Amino acid sequence: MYFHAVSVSPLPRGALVALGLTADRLAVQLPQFADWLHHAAAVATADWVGPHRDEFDRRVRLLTAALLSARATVAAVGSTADDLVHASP
Amino acid sequence: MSDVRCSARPSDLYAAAAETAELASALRAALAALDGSAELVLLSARGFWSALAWRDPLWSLVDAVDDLSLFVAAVGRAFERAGDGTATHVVTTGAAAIDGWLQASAWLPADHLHAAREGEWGTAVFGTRCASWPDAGYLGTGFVVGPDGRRYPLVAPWVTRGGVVYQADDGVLPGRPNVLDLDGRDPGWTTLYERTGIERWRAAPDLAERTLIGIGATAAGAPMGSTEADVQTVTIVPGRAPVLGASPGAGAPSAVSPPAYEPDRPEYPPPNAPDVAYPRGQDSLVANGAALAPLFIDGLGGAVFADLGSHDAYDIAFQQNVDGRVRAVYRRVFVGTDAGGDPVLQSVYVTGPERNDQVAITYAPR
Repeated sequence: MYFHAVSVSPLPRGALVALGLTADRLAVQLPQFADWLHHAAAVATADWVGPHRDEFDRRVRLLTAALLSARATVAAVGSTADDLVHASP
Repeated sequence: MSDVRCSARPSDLYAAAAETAELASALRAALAALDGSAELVLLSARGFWSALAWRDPLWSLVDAVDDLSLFVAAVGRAFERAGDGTATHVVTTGAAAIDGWLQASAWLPADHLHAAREGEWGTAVFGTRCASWPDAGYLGTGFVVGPDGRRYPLVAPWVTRGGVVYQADDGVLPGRPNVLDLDGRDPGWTTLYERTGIERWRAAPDLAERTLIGIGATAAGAPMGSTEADVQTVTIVPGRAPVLGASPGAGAPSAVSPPAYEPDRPEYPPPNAPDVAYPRGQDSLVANGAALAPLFIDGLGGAVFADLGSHDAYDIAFQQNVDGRVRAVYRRVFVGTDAGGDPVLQSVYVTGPERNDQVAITYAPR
């Protein structure tokens, strides 16, 4: 998704290394963000009942799924960047 | 849904909203780091314009977390209002009441801006009079539709005092010159309704916008850039320059000032009520700002501002003149940084629907 067309030109090794590290770090962070979201949700829902709570739960579910899904995307970016680093002269 | 009973503890929802806003801030910082690395690769490999065109598809996550935070805070506020101001106890009420409060608080001025038709703005602002002054006047181009459904021309007043142009006073005492009535040239205004809050004024900026901001172009709007550590609270006091922190400081209310304005609860009937009416009759809040209790944009607002880029604090006053004219004075406050990196507040009047329909505010000292 990120760099499918980039490889047509030589890529700077340093920038690729930095990108790989940043992507790897974000890939680790995203599940932590999902946990953080669940903690916030637990704070909100201790005494919350009703249709607005249902809407909140729905959004939390979608966001959790999106965060975890994004992890795969970001991990792929990191992996691609690492591959390009190793493939570069 | 109207018969469904629901309950919540507002303070819990506020705490969750603040925590979610912190999450949005952290996620935004993490994505910004990824963007920076990605843009560097693109810049090196494909050139400036390729990097400029870069859009990270993950930014919608930040917006979604932001929106969730605002939603929880709004529901908390609705429960608090439904519970007659109770924040720390569980409030039980009908879902319809919460929906009503949510809709009432959902009105944001940025969503209701409209361009003027030919000649419409001038007619609305000046009426049938042929009014013109060499050293004072109004700037504006558009309208805002208020919560009552009426169209109000947006005005940015200005006066010249001692060769300096001012757009607002940093506090006005009763009977003293006031920029808002053009130092007496256009008197007779009374505030019908006033509202402060926070709003999203644009989506998260892409690289093109951030680049323009970085080189100081005005097309992207006022520059902003505080961190959460910089900004904990923004205080907007009608009629005063905004301040960082919880107190307007030197602008403490004067002993001779009229009583502070405290809107009825509710501020106005929830939407779908057939006869929406504003509380009427109080003096202009904007004009008599020195007399008013500060309206705090706190907690959630600070966290939202902290991750910058897309939010502002606003203060909008809907006013009516004794001759029947109406107008809106819509002020936005952005959080920025000075050359030394310290947080500063920048104020503008919004004068129309376009991004550049803004007039920077220079506050006249007290």
